[in-house]
Amino acid sequence: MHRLAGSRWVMGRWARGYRAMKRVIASLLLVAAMAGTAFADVFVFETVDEFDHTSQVQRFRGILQGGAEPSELDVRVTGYPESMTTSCERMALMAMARPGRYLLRITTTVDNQAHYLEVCRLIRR
Amino acid sequence: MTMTRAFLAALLALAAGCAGDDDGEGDGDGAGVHDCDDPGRPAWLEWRELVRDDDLDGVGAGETRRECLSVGEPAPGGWVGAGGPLDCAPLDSSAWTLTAFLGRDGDRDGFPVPLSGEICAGDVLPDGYLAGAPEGEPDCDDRDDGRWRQVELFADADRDGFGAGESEPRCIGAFVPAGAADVDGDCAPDLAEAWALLDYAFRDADGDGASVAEESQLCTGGWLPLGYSTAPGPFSPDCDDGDDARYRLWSVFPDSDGDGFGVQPAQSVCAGPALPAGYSLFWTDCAAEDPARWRTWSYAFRDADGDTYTIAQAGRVCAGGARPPGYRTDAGAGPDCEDGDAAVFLALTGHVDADGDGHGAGDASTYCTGGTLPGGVVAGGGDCAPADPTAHTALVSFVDGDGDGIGAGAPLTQCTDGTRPPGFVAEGGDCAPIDAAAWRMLAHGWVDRDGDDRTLAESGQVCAGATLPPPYRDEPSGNDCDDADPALLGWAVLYEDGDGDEVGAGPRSVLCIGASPPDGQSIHGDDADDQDPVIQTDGEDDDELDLILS
Repeated sequence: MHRLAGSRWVMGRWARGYRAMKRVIASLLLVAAMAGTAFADVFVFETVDEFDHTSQVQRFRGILQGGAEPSELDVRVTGYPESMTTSCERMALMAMARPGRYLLRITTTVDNQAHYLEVCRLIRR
Repeated sequence: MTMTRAFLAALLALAAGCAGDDDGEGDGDGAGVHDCDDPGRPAWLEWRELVRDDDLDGVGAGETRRECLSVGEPAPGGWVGAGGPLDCAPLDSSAWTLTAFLGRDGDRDGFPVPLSGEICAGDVLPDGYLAGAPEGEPDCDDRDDGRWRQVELFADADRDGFGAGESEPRCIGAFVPAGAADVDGDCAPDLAEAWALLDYAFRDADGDGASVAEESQLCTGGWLPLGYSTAPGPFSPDCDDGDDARYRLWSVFPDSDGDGFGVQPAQSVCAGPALPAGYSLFWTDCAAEDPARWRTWSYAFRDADGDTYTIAQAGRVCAGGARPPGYRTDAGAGPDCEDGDAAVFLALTGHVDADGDGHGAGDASTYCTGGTLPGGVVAGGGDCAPADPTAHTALVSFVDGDGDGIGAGAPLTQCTDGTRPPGFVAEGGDCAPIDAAAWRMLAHGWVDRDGDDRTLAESGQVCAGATLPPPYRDEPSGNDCDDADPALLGWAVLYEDGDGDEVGAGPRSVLCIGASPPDGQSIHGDDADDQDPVIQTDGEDDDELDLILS
């Protein structure tokens, strides 16, 4: 299992829809650059096997699109509105309940090797 | 006459009243007149003592008689009852009693003298007499109403109102008589126009309005005459009170050349209102005998030859209204290498070009020029072949055996005409000296060896040309699960589809696949009954999910 940090490997595993994502990533990177040294990162889970939620972190575990082994992603949610974290939680549950039916795409801002939640999106396949 | 008639009437009345009186005493009083001595006289008759009142002022004097009168009957005219004070003026009806007086104004001029006594008067004192003692100075002459006051007068021969000499007492009236004055101190007794001694502090003898200090006194009239004053006039003090054309003392500088500017030291010149000729208020004339020059100009640069190029030289120069040519406060066009020759001004550095190829050799020399270096001298040096007009520039080159523009091997220094000979280039380091398509090392992060446009992560460097050659990539493309088989493109999570409805169920498998899943496999793994192609969902599972999500 891989512990995910901000890396291009993750994006490399995301074969399908990679070029479209480049544009999204470029926009997020621009926003991050304007804010400081932070940059954006995108993770697309083909399967979600586990989901944990603490007061500070949401942990996603599953197989990233294009990957062969399960990976684990910790996303900081301290101070986030409950509606946003609850939305991500429900999307993870949907992906777990319907294996292979959805892709769960999580966009984060990476700052000092820590991921901060930006957007959760559930995509029907 | 009236009193006489009344008297006669009274006598008639008495005669009528006493009718039948027989004068029993035989004293002769009974004939026509009642007799108060008769024993049987009526009770309303009385004897009364009378005195003569010739002036009828009610107060009698002189002759007296006894008269029988009725009670209350007035005395007959010209008579009054006796017993009172006698009339001090029997024949003057306005005076009858002696009255005391304390003052006398004999000449009726309103100024009395103290004098006491008695005078026969009436109800009031006669004019010229005062009942009370007079106040103030007594009349010095009570017999002349034109004189009443006693003053000390001085002889005023010139009749200017001011006397002189010893005073003498004089009795005068309202006015001081001519030839005398009640004020003394006439400083000029024989000159009517002068009488007062006035102080003056300034003198203007020439009448030009400017004065000199001179404190003294002047016998004159009521004011100081022209030329004398208590305050200084304008432009005082007068530097020459004997000449009305000169009164102002100028502090000026001699201006012998007449250019309006003088030289020190300053001189004091007595003149009129205008600046005296030959002098100036300014002392800055730097050339006292040259009317064209009077002012000193400072300069920081010199341009003696007039070529607008200068030498730094600070100083001062005497000139007229403008800074003279050749003296400047700025550097002009720049430093002049020769300020004595207008044809040369610019210093240029050059090298001798003996072979005429435009490149010099040897040490650089500086030439004072007119803007261009002289013939045979050029700006650039470093001719590597001073005697060869075809070669002048030394270039470091590398051998480029494959002609890709990048050489290889050790660098070579060649004396050239500015261009490298064929087969030599400026840049070395060709990583493939005999391959024209590769000359530099490029980094790669991915490879795609099977050509399916899916890459594997593999970093390293490769000798390349303008771009990375296949199969190397500097960007990823997917994640090839088998880079030796172009039919396999990536990993996929698949579920076995037992009923062929394209929806599988667990357990999942992660397989290396191509563009689509193999038969019997599906990317979906949520078939509720994988043995029945009709059933793909489970109502209880959906309710449970709805409950979780609600």
